[in-house]
Amino acid sequence: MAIYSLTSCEGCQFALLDLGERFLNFLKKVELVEFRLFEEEDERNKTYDIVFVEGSPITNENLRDLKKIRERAKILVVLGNCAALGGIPELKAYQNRKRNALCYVYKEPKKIDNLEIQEIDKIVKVDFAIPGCPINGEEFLNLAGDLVAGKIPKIPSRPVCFECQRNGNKCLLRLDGKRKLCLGPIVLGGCGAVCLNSKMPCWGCRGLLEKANINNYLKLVADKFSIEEFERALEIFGVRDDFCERYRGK
Amino acid sequence: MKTFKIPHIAKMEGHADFLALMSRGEVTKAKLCVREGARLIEGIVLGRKIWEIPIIISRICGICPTVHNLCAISAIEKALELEVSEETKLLRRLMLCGQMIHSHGLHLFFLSLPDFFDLTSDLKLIKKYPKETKQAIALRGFGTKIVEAVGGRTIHPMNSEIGGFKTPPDKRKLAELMANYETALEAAISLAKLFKSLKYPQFGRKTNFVSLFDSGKYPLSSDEIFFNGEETREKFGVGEFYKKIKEIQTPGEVIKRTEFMKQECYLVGALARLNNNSGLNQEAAKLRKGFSDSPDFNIFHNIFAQAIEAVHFTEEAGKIIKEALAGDFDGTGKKYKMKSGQGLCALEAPRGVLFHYYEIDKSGSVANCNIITPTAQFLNNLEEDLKFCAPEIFKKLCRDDCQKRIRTLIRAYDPCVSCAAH
Repeated sequence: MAIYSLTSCEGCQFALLDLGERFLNFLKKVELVEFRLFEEEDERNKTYDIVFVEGSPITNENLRDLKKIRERAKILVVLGNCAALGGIPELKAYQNRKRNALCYVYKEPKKIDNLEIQEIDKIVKVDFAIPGCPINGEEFLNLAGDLVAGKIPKIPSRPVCFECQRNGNKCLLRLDGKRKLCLGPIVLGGCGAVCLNSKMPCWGCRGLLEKANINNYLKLVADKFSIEEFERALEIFGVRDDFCERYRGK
Repeated sequence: MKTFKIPHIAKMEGHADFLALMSRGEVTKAKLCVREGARLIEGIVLGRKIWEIPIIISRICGICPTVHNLCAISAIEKALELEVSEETKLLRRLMLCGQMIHSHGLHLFFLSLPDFFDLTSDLKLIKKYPKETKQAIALRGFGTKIVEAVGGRTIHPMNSEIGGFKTPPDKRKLAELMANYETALEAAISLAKLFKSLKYPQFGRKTNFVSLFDSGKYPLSSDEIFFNGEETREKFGVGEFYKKIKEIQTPGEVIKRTEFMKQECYLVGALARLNNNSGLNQEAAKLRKGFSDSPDFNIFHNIFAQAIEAVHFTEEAGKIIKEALAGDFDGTGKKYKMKSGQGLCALEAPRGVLFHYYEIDKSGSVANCNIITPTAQFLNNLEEDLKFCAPEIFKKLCRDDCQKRIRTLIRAYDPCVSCAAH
């Protein structure tokens, strides 16, 4: 098994380390051959049964490494929102054309790679995606159990609302006078509605639910929120292009 | 001309190589070549609304998201001229304590300690030192659960917001933390004793120590900065200091290095804080006694300094949790009116002083943003240290040991390369 990071905040890796003993026990079940946060053994050109890849391919070197990893891996699993959907770095793509983020940040932009943010599955074949920003450590342990046994699991196709209501939260879309734009009804659950537990509306870091009824959802929120506000909310975690791909014209 | 390269330094947050150039026995260059991509965070927040910023900004870093989140929030509050309640300030201090504890715990045990036992893998470390592993995990757990109880989640907390907090802290979670306090403190003290007993390489290049300052205290936030150096030994207002920082970008480099008043390099982080401040809590002060002279110029002691801070901030967290349990938080943040303005905040992140600066317009959109991270500030100091000790290392040690010593030094800084690149 290998855990590889492209360009990222590395939060998904730390989510694993934060599991403490339970992550260390999980490691006993596998042969961990590459995880640069944890070891610096000589790099070997082996093939891997399973590789977890975190982060966005932002540099040319990231792209080369990603393609190399895909060749050497039987199963490739993307870890987290950046790898699965583009993540925070994709905000660059949604900016007004007049803005040039690269030139704003760097006086000497020439030699800096500034590739268009792509989801990893647009570059190489991805066998499974563990979503979230960051990933949920508990969910990782559940899914990884199947993955290291060579099975491709399935995340139950339920919206965030399922867990949110089970937690007894008041629905933010129904608070009289104080409604918040929560994407929960159209986003894949499995996070325990963790943001909603802190009264933060869902901004979709786990991606759109497979058979989400977007039209019904838009009707529900249309009285208070414009389509522009809706699309802006989708931009934070790189979900907007996914939405446009699936539902353009509807 | 000979080159000495260590590619892809492991057990460090982010991606970088080490490169040294030697000519006629002299080390002409010692560089940390950063391989991180440019996520352009300061650029991509332009035009976003201020309530989106804390959520976006914590994603700069996965090990120190809390301090980025709180620094952005405070800077924006300054721009809005918004004062928060004492309870909010208390809870934010508690989150920062949790941040310090779990970040230091990770770096000390999983990233730096293996260097002192000549181990190349944490898997070997945890097998050989199971008792210490349990202690490190217990200590880290205390820190991560503090951030979770107050901030909603350890990595990328979302309960903190402009004006305060979305919900009050879960008192049951706080009570659980208090129940684990003694265990956490024992673990921190035990680890600090372990780090006190390690054999650190000799090192003594004089440098400047920079940290926040608050007379008699050990501050995580302040309006004052202490530049403690040989030529300049002065206290500055945070705004004054920030204006005097020059950010320098070399073509092709994604990290902007910093220079202060033409003094090329300075150190931020645990060792700088320890050199600059008094006000350590009781157990931390006891452990620190007799370890080294003051000021301490041995950069390897930054590791021990973090161990001392882990004890100090555990004690600090204990005090604050007691106070929080006794208090009654209504959990609603202060409301604010949108206005244009500019705001700067400096906080102590685990690795050193962090600056966040925002200009906002009257519609609540970000017009300008600048972030200076601790790692970006100490990179020049790191390279000067490498250049300073490289000749002796190359002369006295075999190639393998050279690699080990250089890696140990780099890791002693606890660089956070993703942060620095943002």
